[in-house]
Order: sequence, then structure tokens, then C-alpha cells
Amino acid sequence: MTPILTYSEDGELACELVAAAREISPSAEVAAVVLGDGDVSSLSESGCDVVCRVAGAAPVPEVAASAVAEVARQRATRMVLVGSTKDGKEVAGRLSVLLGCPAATECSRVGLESGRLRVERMAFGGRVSTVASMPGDSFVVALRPRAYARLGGAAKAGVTEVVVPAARRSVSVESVAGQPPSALDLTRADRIVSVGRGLKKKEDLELIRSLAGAMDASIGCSRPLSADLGWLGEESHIGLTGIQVKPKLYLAVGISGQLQHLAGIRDAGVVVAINNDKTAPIFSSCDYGVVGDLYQVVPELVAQLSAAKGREKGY
Amino acid sequence: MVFPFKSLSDYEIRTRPEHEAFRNFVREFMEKEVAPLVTRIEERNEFPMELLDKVGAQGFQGIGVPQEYGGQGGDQTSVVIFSEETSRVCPALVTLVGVNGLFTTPLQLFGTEEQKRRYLAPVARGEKRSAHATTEAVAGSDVAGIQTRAEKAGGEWRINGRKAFISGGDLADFFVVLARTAPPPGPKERWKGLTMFVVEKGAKGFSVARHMEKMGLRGSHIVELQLDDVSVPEESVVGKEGDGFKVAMETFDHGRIGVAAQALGIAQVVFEKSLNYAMQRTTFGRPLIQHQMIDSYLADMLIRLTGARHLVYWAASLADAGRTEYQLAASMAKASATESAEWIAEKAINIFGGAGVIVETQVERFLRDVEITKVYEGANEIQRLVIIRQLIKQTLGVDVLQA
Amino acid sequence: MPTNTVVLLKHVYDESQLKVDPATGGIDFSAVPGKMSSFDRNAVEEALRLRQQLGGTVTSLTLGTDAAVKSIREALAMGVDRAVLVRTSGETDAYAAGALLEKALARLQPWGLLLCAEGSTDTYTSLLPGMLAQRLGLPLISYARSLKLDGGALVGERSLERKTVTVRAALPAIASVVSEINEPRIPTLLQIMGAAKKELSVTQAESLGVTEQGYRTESMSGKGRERKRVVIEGPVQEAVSRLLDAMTREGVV
Repeated sequence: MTPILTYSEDGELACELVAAAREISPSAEVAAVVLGDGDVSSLSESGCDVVCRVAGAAPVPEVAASAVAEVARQRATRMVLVGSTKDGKEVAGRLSVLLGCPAATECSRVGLESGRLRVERMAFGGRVSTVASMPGDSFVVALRPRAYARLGGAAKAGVTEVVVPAARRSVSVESVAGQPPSALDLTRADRIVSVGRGLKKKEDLELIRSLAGAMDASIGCSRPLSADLGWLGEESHIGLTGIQVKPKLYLAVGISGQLQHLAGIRDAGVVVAINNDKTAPIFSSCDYGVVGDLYQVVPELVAQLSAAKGREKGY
Repeated sequence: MVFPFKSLSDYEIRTRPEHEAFRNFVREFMEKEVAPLVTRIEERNEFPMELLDKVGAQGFQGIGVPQEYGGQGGDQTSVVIFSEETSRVCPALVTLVGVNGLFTTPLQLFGTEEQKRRYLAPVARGEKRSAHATTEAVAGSDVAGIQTRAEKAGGEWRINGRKAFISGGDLADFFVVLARTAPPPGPKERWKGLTMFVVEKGAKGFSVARHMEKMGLRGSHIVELQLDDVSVPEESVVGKEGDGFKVAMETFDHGRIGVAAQALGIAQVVFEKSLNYAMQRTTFGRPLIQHQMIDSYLADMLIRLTGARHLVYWAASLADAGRTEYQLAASMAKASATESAEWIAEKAINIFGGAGVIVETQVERFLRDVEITKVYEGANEIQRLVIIRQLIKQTLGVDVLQA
Repeated sequence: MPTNTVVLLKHVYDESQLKVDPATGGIDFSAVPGKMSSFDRNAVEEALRLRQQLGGTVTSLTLGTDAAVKSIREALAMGVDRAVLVRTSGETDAYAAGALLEKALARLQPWGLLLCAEGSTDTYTSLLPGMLAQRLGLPLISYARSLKLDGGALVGERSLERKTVTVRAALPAIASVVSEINEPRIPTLLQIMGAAKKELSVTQAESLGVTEQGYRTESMSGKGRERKRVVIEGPVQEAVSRLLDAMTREGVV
């Protein structure tokens, strides 16, 4: 059977793609492509059959796409899974053209059915879930982070060095400004306290931090706070154009609940909102909502949480 | 014949796709630039100047001003769309912008080329602001009863008097001022002998005498203007000497529909808020919308709102078609829209209950704002006189006041 | 030498106006108004801003039905010089869209800059920038949060998940922009009225000879996840206490 290729520049996501490939076909060979000379031990234990390492290739979209396409050519396959990150979506578009097959991005589910590949994805700002299909032997699918959990207990796969013709680089990197990684990757967080425009000034983030501390939660935000005000980094931006999260508890503080934000929390377990505007759309999209001034509600919540913790500890 | 019009097609509302595009962009501007500041404007009773500058730069002060004088060259339908959409967010801003129309309209209709060049463009482009000063403490609807006088002295006019309730007078650079320049020829011809002048801010003897506190339209101020021997050159006369009454009346005829649309915007937003609230709020274990009394209110709100909307846009269509029946339609639209809006705003408070009078809910301010719309630009009592007078004139060719 | 810009524009269903049947999740698209895909307005704004330095014209290119004229006129009102509509009979999958646009772009030569949004607000596949870069063999600066011209090169800051990467590419080039890049202008009434007189040329998609590659939408459902929607009002202390009880019951604190 024709092999399935996987590739993501994100190490964790690359392992999750292997799990998805296994779901498409338990028997097909899964070849995980990796660029550069980094450590591949985690990927090699992700359940794939072989790791195809393209040494010397930089993990930038134009290079990645031509490298993966070359591996596909060598292995005579047109079945590729990539990560639905920003770079990954560019790679998906390029691969679609290079391999001459349809592509789908932002997919949350993938599977083979009656010879066609079916994918699930959101449309219309997360309001509509779509099922689409492509030929079962010819597709490029970009899967969202955390859509699949990496497989456990897999045997270590061998690493094959693949040589591909040097790709032309048309875009040169001048500088990279890394944002400090957040304490915990939001896509994995169990509890998220998220804050929006209701916050009056940057210094008041302390209030949100104290709440997050009391709840043992990570901090996210709606687009205005990261993009317009720059109070938090882009990695904290939850929504259609930011990241999609699925915590057990999502606590939205001072977030009005625009569609584009809601697109990022569709898979959240319990959604709680605190907002002083009773007519805010978030109240139609939450499980529990407190109508009130966040500057009063949040300190009270912190106080009651600490008191409850105190009781648990018996003092 | 569909009395008092010739046929049903005379009731047509005509719009173009550009009108719809304009509505969307005005709405976007208001929601993006104005809505976030409304609470602050209400609290401080003041518009940030940067916001007014943005409004001016967007060409909103010159919608009805012809392109050759720096304006947008828009029709009455565009003016109405602007007023309605602005009012949905902030009725006071309609007044702040609208007063410029009460200055540019008389210049457009009666001004000399020189006056148009000098005054229209800077106002239309938002670089300058303007206001209209006809009303006095002793003369509102009775325009002919004004006490301000102007006398000719050596190639100049000297104006003396005091104007009251002048919206935007605190911010304006240019004013039109109505003054009596000759005694009325007889008791039946009191409207004769009035003249309209342009007066610029900073003229010697011309000052803002005091700010008047008022109900509603916070952020838009009304002032009293004092004129002590204010000298203006002869070229400041707008239209002919002695024609001031006509200049003022035709200006109000034009402006009326903007006020009707201001009320329409209030009616629209308050209805939308009421409907949303009725869908969300639960009492006695059911959403409000499942209570028949509430539904009855909501239905009546929509009936009045829709009726008013038809009248307002119909009047605008007649104006744009250059039809004389416009006057009749505009007066009906103004009376209907302003009174419907008041009724709807008042019922909204019934639906919201206690929350309705809480400032934060943003319903009560619309009830405060709507009150003046029944009064200015021709009180609704006057509109009713106009309606019957125009009706008889239009259908029988007789002026009931003369007969 | 003046350089022309092409900006891609899509007319989409307004996602905030979708009417969903709560029982079946079915969507009645006939009742949904259309609008310009939100992020495309940022692309148009950026094209107009860069036009000041590039000196050439800005042409908008749209793939869609006649309904798209509404959005095209908006772009013309914003300041786009002329517009081209490649008229299709309905939805086009991303692969075919890339092929059609490649051909339409060839007809618009000469141009030196192609701008588009990071994705459209309806399907949000974000595939086109990569597809077009690959088809045209041009450099792509995707997810740009800023763009500037430096001699004959385009310098952009790419806004990625965990980093911002500043990159440089020689013109002709493609860039896809994120909405943070600018604040789209709101045209005046005069500009809106003037847009009706600007040139809009229409090409039939069929005449470009492109076939789809087998991507099929099988089903759509607007059935969102139902939330409990319990709204707690009242004095702060009491409200918070009720909220805490609820969260405890749910086992999330």
C-alpha cells in the first residue's frame, strides 16, 4: 500500500500527525519527514514506520514544501498530512500545487470512508462544522494541534537520510524575535482564564494573574489585547486567527464574545463569563455567566477561592 | 388618484446600491469610532475634539454640499441615512453635525458665489464648524417675533440682540444670524423686514453669553449668543435684504427630514435593544418574549417604527426627485418619526423594567434625547399646521392662511 | 518605474448573519447577506498605502458570482483603481481557485506586487497564498503584520504563533496580511458614488479552462455546542458564591 507522509515544523504536532495517519490506515507505511539536524528521538517513537530526515534543509515553508514533495516523489505517494499551523498552511497550499491534489486545512478529524478521505473542519468563523471529502489516494490535509493525541508505547523507528535537490530560497530571514514561551502551552491547558477589552489598563493584568494563580490556570486573551494593545503576546491570542483551545474550564473575563473569539473555544468544556454588559454575546455562548464589574467580581472570586482552599487544607 | 397624490407610484421610495454601501460604512464608522466613547461623552457632556475632527474629515459635515464647494454632493436620501445610522449610536452627534447643514443650506440656496467659496468648503471639509442663530428666548416657532435688530451705518450693518438655544454655538466659527432690518409693513405682514447675515466668530461685540443646561443630547451644547454693535460688511447679507424669513423657512424645510431621521435612528436602536432583551430576559420562568403584553408592546413598536421609516425615506425620495410635495411629506415624517420614537423609547423602559432607567443599560438616554426632536426644526404643532396648509395648497391651489 | 499591485478580494456570506435551524443544524444561505471578507479590507488598505510609494495602479481581482459586485464596489470606493471579476457559477474549491487566479493574473501583467488576506472569513482555508506562490514561482511573505518597501524589495514581519520573523523578498512578490497590519479606511460618500463609475471588467471562469480536483463539501451543520447559559445576577458576593458552587459541581475547580 502507498505510504502516508507526515510533516510539521512543530515537534509535538509532528507526532500527533503520525497518530492521525494511523487512523487513516492502520497498515500503510507512515513516513515522518523532518527537516534539519535536530533531535528526532521523540518523533521516531511516535509510532511511525520510518523517519525521513532531510538534513541541511531549513524549516521554512518554501523549503519544507519542496522537500516533502521530493520525498513524496521518491516514495511514489500523494497522501500527506501536515500541521495546521501558520507555516503549515502555507506548506499545504504549496504541496497541493506541487503534488496536483486537493488540500484542506484547519481539520480536526480525518478518516477513510468508501475510498474517499473525509475531513471535518470549521467554517464561517467556527459557526459551521463541515464534512468534506477528497480522493482517498491524493490529498494534503493540515490538522489542527491537539486534534489527535500522540500514540504511546510505540517501537522506535529507523531514521533514513533523504537527499533532495537544494531548494531555491526566495525569501531571506533578516531577524527573528522570539516571544517568551508562555508558562504552559495554552492548547494543552486544563484551565484558562482569558481576558478581553473589559480590562481598562495593562497594569490590571495583575488582577487576572492573581485569579489565574488562585485557579491554577493559564492566561489567554481575545484579539484586541494582543493585536491592538499588545498587552499580551500573540501566543496568548485565542480565536479564529489565533489559537483554538480545549480546556476543561474556560473563564472569559471582560470578553464580549465576538464570533471570531468564540471560534477559538468551541471545544472548551465549561465556559464561564464575567462581563458587566448583560447584552454581551458571550452570555449566549457560556455555561455560567456573572453579570458584574470584573473589578469587583474577580477580587471576590479570588477571595472565595482562597478561602475554599484554606478550608480544604483544614486551617 | 390616491388622494392627495396623483397615483400610488408617488409613494415610491427610490434608493441605489451606493446608498446601502454608504449606510454600511456610516454604521461601521459609528460603531468603531463613536460607540466606545458614548459613555464618556454622556458622563462628561462633551465630545472629544479628535472625534469631531474625524467626523469632519469623513465629509459628514458636507454631505449635502455640492462637490464644487468641497462637499460630498449627496442627496437627501444620503443625509437621512447618515442621520439615522449616527443616531442609532449617538443622537447628539446628529445635532452637532446637523447644525452645519443649517448654515450651509441657506448659503447654498441664497448665498452669493463669493459667500459660497468662502464658507461652504471649509465647513464641508470639516475644517471649520458652523451654527444657525434664528431663535430667541421670546421667539421660537414665531420667527417673525425676533427682537434682534440690524441697522445700516456707512456701508456696514450693526447687529444688536441676543439669540437663545443655539446648538453648536460654542464650537462654531461661522454663524448665520437672523435680524430685523425694517419694521413690518403691517400686522399681517410681520414676516417682512427680516434679513439673514453671516457673522464670524471673533467679530467685535459677538460672544457666547452663557451655556444653557438642557435635557438629553449630552455632548451637544446650546448657548446664548450676545450681539453688541456687531459690525458686518454688506456682503454678509444672505439672500436679499428683507428676505430673511424666507431664507430661514426654506432652511428649516430642508433640515426637517434630518431631524425625522434622527428620531428614526432612536426608534430603531431602542426597538432592537428591547427585542434582544425580551429574548434573553426570563421572568416567571419564561423568556419575556413569551409574555403577551410584552409582545403587544413589541409589535406596536415595530408597526410605528416601520410606518415612520416609510414616511422618512419617502419624503427623502420626493426631495431627491425635486417634487414640491416634499414639504407635506417631510412634515408628516417629522411629526410621525419623532412621536413614534418617543413612544417606542418609553415602551422600551416598560420592557426593561427597572433596568431601563439605569444609565448603564443605555436605554433611558434615548428617551431623554428624543424629546427635543419634537420641538426643534419646527415644533410638531407647527408641522401639523404645515401639513394641512400644504395639503390644501397642493390639491386646491389655495393658501388657507391668505384666504 | 511605477509598479502595479493586484489585490485579491472575496465576497462571502456574512458569518454573523447565518440563520441556523436549531433542530437540524441546516443553514439557509439564501437569507444570508454577503460582505467583503473582513481581512480582505486590510489587504486593500495595504495595497492603497503601498501605492503611494509604488506609483502604479491597484487592481482588485475577484473570483465569484455577480453578488460579488457589492464588495468590489466597496473596494473601488476605498480607492482601488479598477476591478476584475472572474465570474463563476458558484463555489470554487481552493485548488481550482488557485488555477483560475493564476490565469487571470497572467492577463493582468505587468504587476509587481500581489496582496491578499491570510484567509477568508467563510472557509478560512488560507491555502491560496501558498498555492499562488508555488504556481507563479514568486516569493511569498505570508501572515505579514507589517510591510514596507526597501528599494526593489519588500520587507515584512511575519506574525507566527510563537515568534515574529522579519523577512525580505525581491519584487515581484506576494504577501498575505493579517488584520493587525492596518486599520482599513472608511470611504466617504463622494468616493462611494465615484466608485460606480470606475472600470469593472468581467471574465467568464469557464473561458479560462480549469477543472476542479475532487474536493467536495459533503455536509454542513450550524448546530453549535449547546451551552447552559445560566446567567447569574445580584450582589457580587452572592453571585460569585453561586458561580463557585456551579464550577465545583462541574468538577472544574
